[in-house]
Amino acid sequence: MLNIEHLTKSFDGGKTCVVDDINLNLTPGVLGLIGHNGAGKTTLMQMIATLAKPSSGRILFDGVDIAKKPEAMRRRLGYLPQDFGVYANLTALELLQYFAALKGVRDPARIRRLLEQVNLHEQANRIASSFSGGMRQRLGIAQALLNEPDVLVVDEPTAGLDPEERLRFRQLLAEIGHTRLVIVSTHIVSDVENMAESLAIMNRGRLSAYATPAELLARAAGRVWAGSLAVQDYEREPPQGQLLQKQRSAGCVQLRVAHDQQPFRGAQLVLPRLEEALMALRYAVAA
Amino acid sequence: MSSALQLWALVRCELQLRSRRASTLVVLLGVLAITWLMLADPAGGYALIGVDKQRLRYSSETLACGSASLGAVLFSLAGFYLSRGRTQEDLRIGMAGVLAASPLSSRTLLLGRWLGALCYLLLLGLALLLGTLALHALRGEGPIHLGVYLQTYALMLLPPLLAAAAFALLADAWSPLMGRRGDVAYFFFWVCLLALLPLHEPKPGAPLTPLLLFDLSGLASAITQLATLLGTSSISIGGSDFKAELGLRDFPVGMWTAELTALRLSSGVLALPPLLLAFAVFHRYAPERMRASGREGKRSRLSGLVQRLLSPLTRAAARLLPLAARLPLPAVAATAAELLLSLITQPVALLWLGLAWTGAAVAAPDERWAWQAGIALGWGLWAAELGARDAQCSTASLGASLPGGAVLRQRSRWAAAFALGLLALLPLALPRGAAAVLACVTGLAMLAALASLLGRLTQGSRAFLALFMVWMLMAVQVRHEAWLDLLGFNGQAQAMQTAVALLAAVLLLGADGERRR
Repeated sequence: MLNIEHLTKSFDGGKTCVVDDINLNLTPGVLGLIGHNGAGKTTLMQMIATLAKPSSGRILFDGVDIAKKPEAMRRRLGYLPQDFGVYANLTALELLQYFAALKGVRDPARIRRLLEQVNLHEQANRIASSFSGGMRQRLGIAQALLNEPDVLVVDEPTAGLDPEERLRFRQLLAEIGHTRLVIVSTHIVSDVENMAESLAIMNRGRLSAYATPAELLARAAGRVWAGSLAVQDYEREPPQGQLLQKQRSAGCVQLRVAHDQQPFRGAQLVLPRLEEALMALRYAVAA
Repeated sequence: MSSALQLWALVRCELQLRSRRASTLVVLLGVLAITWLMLADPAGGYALIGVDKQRLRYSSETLACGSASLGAVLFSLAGFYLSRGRTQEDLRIGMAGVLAASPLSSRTLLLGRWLGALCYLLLLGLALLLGTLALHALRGEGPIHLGVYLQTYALMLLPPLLAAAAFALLADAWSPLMGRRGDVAYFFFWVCLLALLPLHEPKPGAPLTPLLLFDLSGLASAITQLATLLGTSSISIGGSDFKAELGLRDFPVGMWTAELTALRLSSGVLALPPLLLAFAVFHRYAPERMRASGREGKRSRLSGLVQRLLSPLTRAAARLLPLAARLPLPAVAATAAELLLSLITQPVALLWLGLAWTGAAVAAPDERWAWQAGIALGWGLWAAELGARDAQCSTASLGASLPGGAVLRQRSRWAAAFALGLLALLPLALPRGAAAVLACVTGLAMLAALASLLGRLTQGSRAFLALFMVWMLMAVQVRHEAWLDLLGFNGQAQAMQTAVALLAAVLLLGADGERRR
């Protein structure tokens, strides 16, 4: 469906490489794009959404190079950018009507259906700029779905949402991912761990890993340790490795550490959580 | 969906967006106020159109021609500033990416934007027409002929509105013209166009030359035609004095000849080059094209050179910042900080001031008002920036969380703009006497309050800039009108005007503060 081949994006005449030789072959489902701030996620998303052109390499959508024929992608794309906002003074309904015009969607009933799908039908005639962050994001996803896209690109969708909104949003994306390709960029691992079928991990513009969550957990097995140390012992000799969790309780420090060998006496190997697995793998890469 | 339907939906949305803004109401009220000022009451000794010190009868033809000519001049300037800024809005609120990724063609998007802006400007033109009709009912000296009004307005106003909307579109679509650079470039372009035209001493019988194609406002064309029809070169449009004992003169018959009509229609074609250029150079919000000329981009060589030359001044201002924190009252400290920040971030304004002061010092006494007007123009840019600083830097929440809250931020910015104005203009007003000083002080207080209020209401600086420039243009053209002499550089301001300006300043400041509370 979407093939990314040797994709590179650089600025300043090649001095700053933001995306470096990325190769991915994507099919319908949810792809979690994970990486720290500045890893190149947003630039990669912008190239997929036809906002930016690659410096080299190509993105093929059903065999068509989208840099050469962006319209082929745009007709079948839904995009929700990281900083999606709304025009002041327009109601939710008017805003969706505007987007319907942009996307050439003629069916007015579709707008109503989408408003119901994202649970905003009762607020359809409210000025959208008065919405909460979660409501705006839902309006954002509604506009992205207007043209029934085959590819949905969502950049940092849950930033600023409360836990309930976040959960609802994840469920919505997972549902959409049953039939379409959903690319979700985030640096919050918990956002994608229960809905993404595959994860692409970016580090300094490069693809560090592309695997299923289960594969990543398996890769990190044997590297995550847990145990407790007396406070004095901890302060005298902090454990080696990547500290994943530290919690004080009753004169002790409960620790979870990523390391190839036992980091301190009494530490036990445990099953890593996805976030810990990623930390462990990134640590391994950096080392 | 067909392209026509798409276009219609886009235009409707553009119109909804623009017409529902609070600034639209302000601008509409401004247009009505300007109409009232333009169509002078003959009982006050001034007429809309004067010919050899005779007044033209206030018929439909006179009122339509006079108001449309002046309105066209104003809209050809202010229309640009009122129309532009949609790209920046898209970028600010995060709509840019969605638009760029939509399947809508760039051409349709731009055409929709242009038509939307044009409809908005036509709405303002309609306000001018309705205001003129109301004044005709009040001060007219003949029946209202709607057909005459519609014909005159269509031929006079359409070309400048088409062009202003097209230039605004180009300034939004082409990265190098985005932001303040586009504002300044258009202002100079507009002044150059005006300077090209034979506005002064039109000769009776002079032909309508092809040069008049560049007469966007139509003022030069109208005066040239009137000179031929009336057989005199002494024609003035807009608040000219007259001798009542000479009696009234009728507006000449046959103003809209086929030649003049064709000329005006052809002037509308001037909108095409910027429109086509905008289609060709549209950035479509591509990050690399925006970056190349955006804030993160490299400064131009000239800008870099000016920054380097002025760096001692900005460094000196920066050194004073820690001292501002030591000032006794929080309001004084905040005002000093805002003022210094303006000097640091806009050092070119210092250069402007230096040049204007030098000019005023060496100019003949009767020319000093022009230098003072020039300084006021520079100050207007400063005041506009200060009024919209929070909106443009997204620091409203941060500012409101500081001690004193949003109200102190607003007051300190107003005080900083006011103080900068005093620094710039007071040295030149002092030798002109107490009335000029009083007018300068109250005028600055009012304009700074207006900049602050409009900056907050419109989340930008352009509504204030547009109104400020229109006022400046009228003030330097109609120098005898006391109500226009807000800063006292024409020497016409009286106690009544200064009192009203002071009251307006208090009301504007209060209204702004109340909304921020």
